[in-house]
Amino acid sequence: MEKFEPERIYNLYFDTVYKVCFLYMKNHADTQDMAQETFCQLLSKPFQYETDEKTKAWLIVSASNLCKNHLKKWWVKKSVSYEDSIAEHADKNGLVAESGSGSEVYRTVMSLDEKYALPTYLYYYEGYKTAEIAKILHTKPSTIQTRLAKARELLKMELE
Amino acid sequence: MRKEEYVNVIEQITPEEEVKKEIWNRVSQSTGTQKKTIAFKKWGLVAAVLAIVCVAGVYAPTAVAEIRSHILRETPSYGPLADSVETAIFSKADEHICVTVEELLSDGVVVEMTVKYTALDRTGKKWLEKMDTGIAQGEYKMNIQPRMINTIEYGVNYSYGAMELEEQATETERVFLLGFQASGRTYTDHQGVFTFPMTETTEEVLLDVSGNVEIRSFALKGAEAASEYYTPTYIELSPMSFVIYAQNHGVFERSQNDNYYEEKWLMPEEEIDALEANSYFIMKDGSREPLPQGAAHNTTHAKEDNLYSDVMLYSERFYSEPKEYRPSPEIMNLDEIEAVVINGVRFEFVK
Repeated sequence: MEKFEPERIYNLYFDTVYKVCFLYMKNHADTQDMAQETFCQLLSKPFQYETDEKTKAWLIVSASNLCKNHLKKWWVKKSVSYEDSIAEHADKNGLVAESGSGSEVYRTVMSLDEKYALPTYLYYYEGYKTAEIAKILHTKPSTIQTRLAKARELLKMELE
Repeated sequence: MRKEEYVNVIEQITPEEEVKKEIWNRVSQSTGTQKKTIAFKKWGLVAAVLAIVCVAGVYAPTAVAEIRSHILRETPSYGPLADSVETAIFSKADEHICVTVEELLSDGVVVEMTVKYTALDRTGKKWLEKMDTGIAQGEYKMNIQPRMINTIEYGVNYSYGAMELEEQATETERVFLLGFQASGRTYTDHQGVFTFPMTETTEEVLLDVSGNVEIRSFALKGAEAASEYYTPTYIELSPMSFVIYAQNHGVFERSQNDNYYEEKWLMPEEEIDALEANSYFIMKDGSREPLPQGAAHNTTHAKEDNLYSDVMLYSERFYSEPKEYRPSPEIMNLDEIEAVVINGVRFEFVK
């Protein structure tokens, strides 16, 4: 029978939480902070454990909400090195930076707006059905279907 | 894009095992949050009592009665810098809204300012209602960044951000806190580029962000060499931050990217680790204040063509000891600092 053992839950779902946070924060440093905060919330706030799967859903939603709130707050927006400033300057002046097709796929995925990024991740990577995603995110299945369709359009994803 | 390509991208977002363990250590250590909650409740009670005293017209402590500055209210530890907060910095209006930079608190490394948007008519009010608080980019982009022309010579690393003070919002006004933190003061003319939306355009204006916070500069004198890679030369100290400069000993890297030619001074990782582990301020009472981790610079541009010149070695704002998950900015009493130890070598301050 499953039990709520903090370290077991952490090991089981850390990767999921990390990926969800990265979809919002888009860099490892901030992602680590947000992943840490998600698990701190799990262990410090009142939490009624029922099953591992429900705990996973709770973690996904908490991580998402924490990231969304954090993105509105202080010192989050950007860290800029002057090398990046130079590259931006080069781009603005029509000088093309090096890119390969792999990095282009990565950029395309990372450029998805947050409202498409999470359903897309839950559908294509975690394998949830649209009804399940709708339940996790407290929205209608039709909303999830619309967002997945839009995400496919933005990603130019081939239909299965 | 095929589904497999998407999945491969997500697969790449995998933290190292070490990072996972480190985060677990921090999580398990910090989940004694019961005590923290109780402490907050105590402060809440104290604040409520003081507020009641204020309303009754009885004398109340200055700290509660007179915090009118948004910056100081958000960062109470900056209270001693109240006299350094500048006001009425900049203002611009169009037909429908007025934008005012109301306050600036800066030492040139840490720059914080408050920006107020005021609706002047119905159209402005509607525009303000729509304004998105995710304001680093897009239609409502609003930020302050260090100005850098001729970037190689004046380059600093920096982070910048913004947040809305939602509790200050009214039907016709919204207030935001903006700022940046740079690795040094060498950006162009001590100016910041303030980008802000108006109803028809996004505007950009240069602001003097040198600030009024006291900065003390000292040459650094040590009895022996701190490293084969650098010699610390001087330090700039303010109550908010410190910047240590050094002379590099000529270890550098030249690289040619697609579009520009770059020269950088380099220090090996082991040298950075040693520097961070063995550097601290010595206080007059004999105690030590370690320099923050992760704030040493391993690459930076030398200012002179021959590369044997001043480089920024170590810089950071002062933070509280990380008792909580996130340390908060703090003030350093400069009169209490006796000397600095850099990579295990003591350096005296020389005027």
